[in-house]
Amino acid sequence: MHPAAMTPSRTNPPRPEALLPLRALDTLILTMLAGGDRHGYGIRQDVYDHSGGSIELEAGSLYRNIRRLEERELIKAGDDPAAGDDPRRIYYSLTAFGRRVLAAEMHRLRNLVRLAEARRIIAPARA
Amino acid sequence: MKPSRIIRVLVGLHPPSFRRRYGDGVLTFCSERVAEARARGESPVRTWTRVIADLGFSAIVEWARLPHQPSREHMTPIASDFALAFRSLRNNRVFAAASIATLALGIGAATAIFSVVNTVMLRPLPYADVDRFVIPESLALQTGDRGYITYGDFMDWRDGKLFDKVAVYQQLEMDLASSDGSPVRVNAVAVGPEFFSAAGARAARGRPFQAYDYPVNAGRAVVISDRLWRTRFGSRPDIVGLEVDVNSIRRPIVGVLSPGQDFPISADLWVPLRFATEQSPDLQRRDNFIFQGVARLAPARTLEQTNADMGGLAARVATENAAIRSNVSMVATPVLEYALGASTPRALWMLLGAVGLLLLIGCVNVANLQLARATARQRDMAVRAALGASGYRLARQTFVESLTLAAIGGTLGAVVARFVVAGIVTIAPTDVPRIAESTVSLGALAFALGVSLVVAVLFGLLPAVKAMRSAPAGVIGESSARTTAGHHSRRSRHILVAFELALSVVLLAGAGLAVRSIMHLRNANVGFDLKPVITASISFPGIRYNSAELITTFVNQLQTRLAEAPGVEAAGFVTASPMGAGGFYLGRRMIAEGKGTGPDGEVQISWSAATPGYFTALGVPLVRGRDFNIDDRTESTPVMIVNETFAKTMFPGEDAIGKRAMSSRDEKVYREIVGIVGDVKFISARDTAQSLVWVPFPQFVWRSAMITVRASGPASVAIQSVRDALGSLDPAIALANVSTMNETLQRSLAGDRLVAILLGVFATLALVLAGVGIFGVLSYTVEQRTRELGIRVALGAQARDVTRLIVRETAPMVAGGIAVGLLVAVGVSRLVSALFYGVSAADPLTFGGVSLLLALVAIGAALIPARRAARVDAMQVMRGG
Repeated sequence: MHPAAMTPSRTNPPRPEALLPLRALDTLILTMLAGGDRHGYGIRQDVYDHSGGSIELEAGSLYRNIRRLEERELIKAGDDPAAGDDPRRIYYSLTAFGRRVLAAEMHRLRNLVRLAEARRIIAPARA
Repeated sequence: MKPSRIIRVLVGLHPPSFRRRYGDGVLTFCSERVAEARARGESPVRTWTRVIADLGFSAIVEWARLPHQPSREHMTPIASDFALAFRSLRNNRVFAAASIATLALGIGAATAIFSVVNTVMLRPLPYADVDRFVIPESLALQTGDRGYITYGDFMDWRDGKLFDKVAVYQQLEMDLASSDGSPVRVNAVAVGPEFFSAAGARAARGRPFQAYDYPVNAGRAVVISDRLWRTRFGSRPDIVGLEVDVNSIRRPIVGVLSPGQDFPISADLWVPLRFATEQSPDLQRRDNFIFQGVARLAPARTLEQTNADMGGLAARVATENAAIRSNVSMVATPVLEYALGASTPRALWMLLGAVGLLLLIGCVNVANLQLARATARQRDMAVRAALGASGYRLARQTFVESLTLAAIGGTLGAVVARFVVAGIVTIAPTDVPRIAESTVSLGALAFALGVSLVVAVLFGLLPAVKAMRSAPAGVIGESSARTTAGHHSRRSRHILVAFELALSVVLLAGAGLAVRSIMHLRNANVGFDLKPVITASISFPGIRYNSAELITTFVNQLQTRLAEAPGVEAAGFVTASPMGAGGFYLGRRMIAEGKGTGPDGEVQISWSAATPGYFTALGVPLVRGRDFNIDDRTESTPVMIVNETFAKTMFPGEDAIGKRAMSSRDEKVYREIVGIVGDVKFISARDTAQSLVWVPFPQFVWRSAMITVRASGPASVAIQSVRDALGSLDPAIALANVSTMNETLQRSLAGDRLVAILLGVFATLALVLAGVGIFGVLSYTVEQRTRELGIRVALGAQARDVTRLIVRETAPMVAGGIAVGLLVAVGVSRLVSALFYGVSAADPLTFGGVSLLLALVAIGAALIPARRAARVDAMQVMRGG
């Protein structure tokens, strides 16, 4: 059973908005991959650093998310490992569709933040 | 098992599709994860708890999301067994949930408690050669009480070479000046020569004391603890040689001890204990029990031989000093036993026993559930055996299923254990040695997991074994067509439930007694109103307060200022506060004037000194006579105030006011009783009444005192007043141990509260598990008897009759279990009754309540299946058969 076999093949990819809102963890992983390809442990370290050490991903939950993101074709596994690296390491990268979904999610979040600023929940950010 | 093996096994639990795609990723991830955690110094328990829980959970999620009929072509046989097991468990949710919950709670609680007990009691102390390290003590032959030693006995041991090394020490409190000038009180120990080598303590920096520190004209060297070095001196590297102000004297720090080596007393400062001469009468007297000792057994001498030698020497001393030393011997106690004290281990053993019971109940429950399920599957198994499935194949299937249950239960159990340990550490009293260091013990986890695994697997295998051994036709016949389930299997399950109920009674009774005990303790009449009373201790550095007059004058001035201070209703001083709030008192014996002078006429008392107004401040009623006053001075008539117990014991049936008595072994001065006050609990809320004596402070001046203040408003205002008053008189004296009496009481009950809470938690779990057990057994019974019940209904039985039938069949098992449990509980609570206060071991209220509660739970658990039985539709049953 290849995961791809479980996903119905689509002729037209869905509109990015159909997948919103993303889970917080998905957003984090996609954002990290937007900065460049990462292998599993690299994603953990990146998330750890950018959450100030508050989010520690363990293998099971990370790969569960990777599996889901792959099924939705938001990310894909790279073919060749980086030269000189452990050949068992698989690097993941953001697909073009994934980038669109992430951007859509960020727009959604920005609108939310603007609303929060307008309602004086937080002070407006300075450019 | 090597880490990579563990991870491989965990990855192996996942569905093949996931393994193929992400197996390598998970493996490399986890090995990096583990390596980095080790490099970072993360505790292995935390790392592995997280990794195992995460992958265990992930395996469940990945299996659960697979479509119902996973294609099995790519599966290894083991994987297909797991797939089958997951599906089978998913189809029996009640069974699976009950088993997993039982396992997780049982394993988690057992592991947690064992881990705490392990840390506190079993892990060796950080000393070299711990089994040669002993504590010599005096032994009261009549009561078995152990206590301090005299210097004379120490000299006997030292000069007679009874030990390899032996040393004396005395506990003190000293004021350490800090950089900002305000002093802090620290626990200190004055130690004799060879103390550090006898105790096996080493200096991490500098040196311990040497022979040249002991002459009285030598410099006043001090050694400090690792803790003090870190907290007060910021771990400065040039600590050795630094001079500090201790009790207003400059002293050089010559050494810092290694961490954790502050046994036998948690202390921060050590000073040499030195004497101008060992010939002084105080040191020679054989009833001056004011020292403590440490020793190392002599080479090739056992503890028993050493104790025999000590006993022989003590017997000779007793003959030579019959008046003061009859009935006193000397013994050495192994250090671990000594460190744990008397009551801590008993409470911990009791908890360990309770948690053992809980684990046992859990195992009985799992066995029961497996048996019930086994009966239900008997037919299925028999059919498969008849169709040619090998015994091995059948056994493997149930084995894998049990394994899966135990693995999930165990994983959750590890998580439960972590939380329970954290919870215990949070609510435990801080004076339980080393409790804060408690971590989940992997050994304990493995043990609890192993026990449950064996039980689950053994009882899980039964149906397969049965299926292979019995003629297929017979089994198929028995459980379906003709009548009811085999009487055999039903009876064994009923016995298991009865057993489980009996165990639950024991746990519930223990918890009930503990809860009643703490309620009694909380409401115990301590002899005064706790709420507004505040206590704090001060001590007077000998270099500046070098005469009794100076101390008395200071105390008088401070009391005058306090009396006028805001927020203070009354104030007084005493050497020792009640309820163990602090201070020092003397254990003495008194003899009444004109009565027998032998040991028979003596009354054992606790002796302290107080100022006028102390009893008012504490709120203890003056029953007769007068309080101390300003005219009770050093040179005036020796007087004392006694409590009612003393008056009744010493002068039964007489008026004690005006009578005289003396401390017969030391002071030997007749003191006139001028007042009698109400009894107070002196040591703790558990006290039985004891004889107490107070003398006027000027007639018995001590270097330290407890300030006792009755607040008229908020405690904080009164405390600030005390600080201000003390600061305005002498800013160099530290105010220590500030506490309200209510806090003191709560602190003293923390241990009892911990025991009560934990027992309560266990008992609740036991109750739940017992309910699950009864429910499980009856549900299956009813299911199997559907046909029989249907016939009864067809023949005219009413729904009520069917319900009654089921309940009636439950009754003997419930009643029997409770009865046996009560008998055992009475026996067990007798063993642990010393831990409980104000309740008898066979407290009828507790035992009655427990039986009733359990009976109600049993009936409730029986009613659900019984009502289902009552709804059996006769027609459908007959047709369906």
